[in-house]
Amino acid sequence: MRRFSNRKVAYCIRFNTDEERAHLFLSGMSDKKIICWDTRSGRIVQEYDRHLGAINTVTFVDNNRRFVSTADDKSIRVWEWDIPVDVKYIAEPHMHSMPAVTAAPNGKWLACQSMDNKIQAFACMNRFKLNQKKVFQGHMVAGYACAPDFSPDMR
Amino acid sequence: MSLVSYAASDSSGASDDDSRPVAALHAVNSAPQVSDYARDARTQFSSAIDPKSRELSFNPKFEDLFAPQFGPENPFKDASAARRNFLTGSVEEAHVSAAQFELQRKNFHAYGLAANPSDGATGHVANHVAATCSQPRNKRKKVANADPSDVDGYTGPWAHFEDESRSARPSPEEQMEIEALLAKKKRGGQKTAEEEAGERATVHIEDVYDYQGRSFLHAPQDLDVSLRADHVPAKCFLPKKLIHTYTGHSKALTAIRWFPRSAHLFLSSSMDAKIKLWEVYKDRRCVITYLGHKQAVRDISFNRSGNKEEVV
Repeated sequence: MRRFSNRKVAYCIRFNTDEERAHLFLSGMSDKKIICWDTRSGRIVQEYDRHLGAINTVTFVDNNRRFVSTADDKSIRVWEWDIPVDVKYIAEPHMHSMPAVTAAPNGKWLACQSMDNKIQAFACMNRFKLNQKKVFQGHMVAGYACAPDFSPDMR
Repeated sequence: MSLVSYAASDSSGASDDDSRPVAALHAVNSAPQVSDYARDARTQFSSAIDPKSRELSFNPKFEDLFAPQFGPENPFKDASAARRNFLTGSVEEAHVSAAQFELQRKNFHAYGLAANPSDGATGHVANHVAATCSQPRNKRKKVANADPSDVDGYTGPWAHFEDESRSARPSPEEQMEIEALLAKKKRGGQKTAEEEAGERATVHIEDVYDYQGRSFLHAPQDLDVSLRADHVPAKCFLPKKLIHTYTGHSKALTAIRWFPRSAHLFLSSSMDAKIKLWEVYKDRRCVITYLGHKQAVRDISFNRSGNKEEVV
């Protein structure tokens, strides 16, 4: 039972579920940084400082080699592990901030709930493209983050 | 001199009558000048329009409709009252384009000068208050490099402030503060550090270890469903029936996370600063409650093997 403190509010937390890096976890903070902590030493290992708004979610894709972060600056950034420069930066003028992101079980898609009452699917294999056909509308989300989830048969 | 000249009157009488000039007389018209005011008015102002009238039943010409009012002014009456249609003056509709209006308004606010919008007036209107406050306020300076041709040193919108420290590591003073806070919790001989800090886990079930000594983290094997299988079912169905309601949290839930690999447990975190571990099959009991956060718990995450949970 350990405590890790940074004096900043952390909004999102994810363990890296790789076998070699099982002692590392990422936390998305309110001061626009994603911080990687080491549980064994209790120290900060890496900082990812590219967002322009408080981090909402962090999701691992591609077998834990990359992770995707969304923030209050209405953008999505894809990072390689341990490299503090984002590989891809997705920000469209019609995009809203995405407070909840879930990865699909087969690793091909991300379901992101965006604030304009839509759930959008992003392909996350090599090209992070918005899948125009898979936009789900119908929920009225009044500013809350409702987590979408995939059924195991991807339907 | 007299009108008639008597110069050669002595010499002869009859012959001088023809050569004497006749004195010229000015024609004097002694009739007074009379102006027929009514006649003039009829012809000149025959098409005058009563300014108080509200409806006209004919189409006057522009000159007739907007001819100035005639008639003597009453010297005892206030003449400016005639020009007023409002309490303090005369109001009429005017048109200013929106872009011009905004331009003048912003100029007035920023620089203190704007074009005079009165009808027919020229010149400027000055705002002395704004003119003195046109210097920008002291802004916090950024170490910015917005030159896009500079490949290595380009900062763009990611420029940091001059007096800002960019490391998330606590500074030595903050580190000492954190250690002092944690050490305070360690004081008191009898109580352990965890209890004093308030971090404790309350186990609610009696049979934590089964007959073989395996804890509840081990997946149960006496179920209809095989939790060790890796394959995905061919068809998944939408949920239709409510099976169970877990009660235990007093405030809203923020996150639910399945136990990795074999989802026979799940963690739930809520705004009442508690995290509870629940069973999915069999009795569906609450296994453990983790206390220790003072504020709401926002997010939780399982380790790869499920023996550690991270809590925010």
